[in-house]
Amino acid sequence: MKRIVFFALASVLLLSAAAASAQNKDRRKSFSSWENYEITTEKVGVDGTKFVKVWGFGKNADAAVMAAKKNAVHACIFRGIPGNATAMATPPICSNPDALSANEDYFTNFFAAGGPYLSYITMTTDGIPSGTDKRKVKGGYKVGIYVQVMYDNLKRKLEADGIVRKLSSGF
Amino acid sequence: MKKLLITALSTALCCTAAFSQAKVREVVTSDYQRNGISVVAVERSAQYDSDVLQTVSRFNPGNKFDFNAIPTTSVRIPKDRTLSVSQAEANAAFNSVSFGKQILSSVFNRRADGTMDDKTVRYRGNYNAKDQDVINARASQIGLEALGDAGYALVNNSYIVFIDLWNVTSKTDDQGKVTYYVNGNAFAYKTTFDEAWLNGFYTDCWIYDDDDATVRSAKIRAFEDLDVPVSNIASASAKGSGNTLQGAMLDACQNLIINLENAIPAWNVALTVMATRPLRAKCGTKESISNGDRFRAYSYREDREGNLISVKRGFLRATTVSDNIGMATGDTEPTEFYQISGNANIQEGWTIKQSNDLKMGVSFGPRFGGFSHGKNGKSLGLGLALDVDYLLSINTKGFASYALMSAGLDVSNAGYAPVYVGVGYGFGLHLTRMVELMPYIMILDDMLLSKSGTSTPGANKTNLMSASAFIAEPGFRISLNIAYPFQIYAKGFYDLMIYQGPVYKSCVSYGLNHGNGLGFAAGIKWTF
Amino acid sequence: MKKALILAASLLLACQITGWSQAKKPVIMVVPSDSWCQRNGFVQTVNQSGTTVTMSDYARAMRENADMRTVVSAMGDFMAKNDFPIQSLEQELKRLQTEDAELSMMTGKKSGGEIEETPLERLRRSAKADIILDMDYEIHRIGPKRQVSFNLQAVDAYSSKIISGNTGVGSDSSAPMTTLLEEAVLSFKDNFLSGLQHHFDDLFANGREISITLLRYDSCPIDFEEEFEVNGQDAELAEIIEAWVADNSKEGRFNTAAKSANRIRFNQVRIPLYGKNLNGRDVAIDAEAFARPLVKMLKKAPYNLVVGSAPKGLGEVWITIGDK
Repeated sequence: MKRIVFFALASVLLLSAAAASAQNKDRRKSFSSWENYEITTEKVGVDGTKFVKVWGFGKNADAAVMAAKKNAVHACIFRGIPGNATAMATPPICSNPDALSANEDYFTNFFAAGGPYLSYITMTTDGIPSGTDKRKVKGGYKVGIYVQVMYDNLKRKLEADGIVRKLSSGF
Repeated sequence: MKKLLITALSTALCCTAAFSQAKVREVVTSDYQRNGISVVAVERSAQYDSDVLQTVSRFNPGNKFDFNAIPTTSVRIPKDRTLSVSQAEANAAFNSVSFGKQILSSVFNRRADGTMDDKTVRYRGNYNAKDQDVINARASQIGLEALGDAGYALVNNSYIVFIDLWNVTSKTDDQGKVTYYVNGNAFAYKTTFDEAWLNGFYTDCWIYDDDDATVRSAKIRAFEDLDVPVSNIASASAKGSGNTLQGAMLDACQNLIINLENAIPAWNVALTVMATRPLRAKCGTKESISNGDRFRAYSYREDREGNLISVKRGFLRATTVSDNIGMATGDTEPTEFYQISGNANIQEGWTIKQSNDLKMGVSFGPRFGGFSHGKNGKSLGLGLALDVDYLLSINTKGFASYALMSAGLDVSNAGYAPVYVGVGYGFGLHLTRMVELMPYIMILDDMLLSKSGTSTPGANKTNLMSASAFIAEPGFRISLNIAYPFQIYAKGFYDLMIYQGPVYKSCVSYGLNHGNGLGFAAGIKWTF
Repeated sequence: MKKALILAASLLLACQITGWSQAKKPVIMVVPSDSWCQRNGFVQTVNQSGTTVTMSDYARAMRENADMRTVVSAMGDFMAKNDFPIQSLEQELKRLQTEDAELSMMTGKKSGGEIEETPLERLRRSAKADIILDMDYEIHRIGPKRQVSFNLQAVDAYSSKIISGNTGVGSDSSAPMTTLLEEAVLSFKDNFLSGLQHHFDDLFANGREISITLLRYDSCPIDFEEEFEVNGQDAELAEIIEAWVADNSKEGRFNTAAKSANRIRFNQVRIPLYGKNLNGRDVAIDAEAFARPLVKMLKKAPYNLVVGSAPKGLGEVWITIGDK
């Protein structure tokens, strides 16, 4: 009888530990996931640009800033940017949902560390992310930065590289 | 007894430590915006009315406020000036005048014909802008015009402060020097409308160039009928003193504003640390920051549910204050700070928020030796000392100047009732933020109260002088942060008799064990 | 495998692009909306078939309203950057003015006088604008601030269907009006271009959408229920016409909206973007050009009808039998 109780207790403990570990894993995964980031339009940017606030996650604040920059370009290409009360939403440059998987090599190179994506982004945060824009979270930092994405130039680049069709394609 | 003391001390320490690490429920942010202020004097229909009026009208609450000039500069609450005005009385006086409308008229420059403009509002928007706002504006299509637009949101940050000065007293010392003392009460009211209300105000009351006479008169009427939401948000009391009546009243006004600052969070300057080594943040004289002002640092984290939590960190003091009066250009010179507490180094990006204190440290503890000797002058005498240090200035390297005051009694020679008071100067050096070394010099006046006569003022003076000794005390103090603002200290010093009155001298000859000597003291210190 | 897929996809894309490169660019023109003209007093009253009607006065609007010119030029700028220069409404109006007399003489020739075009329809046809950008904006005064609310509809001139709708408000600010209007244009720019791209994709895949209306005059000896022998079978004229539309529309896509002895109406008729002209060259075809072979067919035996054809804009044609 005692043994049964012992085994039952042990399995409950093991199971809960496993569940907790899975939960943590999920959590870590959700942080590092490409799709899991917040982006908001700040204001209508100057011609050809999008002025947004974007969040990124990283082991340290610098890594989080890099991730946020990547996220901003990612949003312009694949996700689109939600609008606000005084700025309309921006559609993604690649309207085709399979664009990423169809051009995996291209985008792997495009988003590589120090890759071409950096040419289409300017950080407009004064200094480093600060105040409530720099948060310690489990496993690292979450930072919010203000950026200008050169949306039109980015679109031209993807058009020139044959990833998306130009508006005038076919005419 | 020992056990009890130890238990009490450790409990106090634990509590303080726990308190200092506690999470702040309300998230402290760095979105400080400038506030508008109108100061209104309370007349009593009694003595000093004209002095109060004059003082309050000349009083400048500080550069951190935009001044809203309103026609009503005083209200009348008929009451004897020896009595304090209650909140209800202040509210009644407040409600008898339409201050809200006066504020709107002031910020929108309303003219006799009912027309208004936004020049002041736009100027304030530009003036309030921080470097990040300037950079953001440049990135947007609207451009720098957006900075002026931000001024509309500041209209609601308008405060009306009633200042009531009462219980005016004065004391004249032996040399005929008069010191005035004044009590003060401040009642702060704030406009409490939102953007929707303001838009309604524009619709109903804003006269456009192309409005015809009928529309104009309707809008003027609408303004007259306007009910601007304003409510009481804080009150404060303070005292003031000075060599002149107006000086004492001005001192009371300044102290009232400091106390209101502690009661109104929106008045506390909050910003972020832009760099470390030295700690720097973009604020300065524009925000009425002065050397020694205390700030508290906060960092942020998210809990499991993703809720934002601000975590209290150490304290820091402003050192080299930047003159940032003028419009932000995106490249404002920062003010430097020195961190005075906290286990962790304050990091770039953390929020710092003004947390006023009196810049005053009060320490208490036993004192051994010095001018006080034990039996036959062979052992160290025991005394009790209460020391006060007031921070005069601090620099970025942690060098600080203090004005020192001290009072104490010599327990070993209690029969003579020896009491001392002293003043001095100390120069603080920080090895780390946790440890402060302070060489100092004090002049003590050691008085034998049992030997001083009390018959006539003249005789008293003579007797007290003759029963006193003046002692020069060079010394060295070391203070250690335990859990700021709680510290422990130890000091070593040498007391050198520089003057002994005749009565004092004779007492020394007949058994008072006072003389030159080394001494040390230790105790606890609390910073207020 | 991945590489092969990418190669195939690029080849396919290249082929498509080569195929499409022969096509003519749709003409796009910005026109102030009727409600904007009404609000800003740019209207004129004209006598149309004895009835006084109020119509938008585009010429005066473009001449006198600097704000609208700002909007048009801001839109022209971003469209030009996307290789789609906008047809200038102003220039088109000037051209129309000179052609007006001639046009009115031509309309006078027609006995079927009841089929008349509105100035917009005439403009659309004359400018051959494939897409009309119907621009409406309103400036709201909020005390010292102003705010622009906008509504831009991209309308397919053939089907009159909205292909992209963009509504929103800009910042409330005391910035100059030009800045606020430019901000509004930039605000909807990318959403608008995305809607346009979607429309073009649809055009390439499914063809243009038009409507055809056939009417019978009393003078006509037969009606649409008259039977004729076609390919050895007896069929009503309406059925024969329906079969023609089915044969000639892209992938047989059309809808018969009304069918009676005196009137037939086809809508959502998908037609190829381009047809051949007399010299066999590719030309963009509109509703009238598409229906021309049908008109020819009805004129010939066994129908031998008097047939008239009147376009209403680019996307609609009225064919009359019994009179011109």
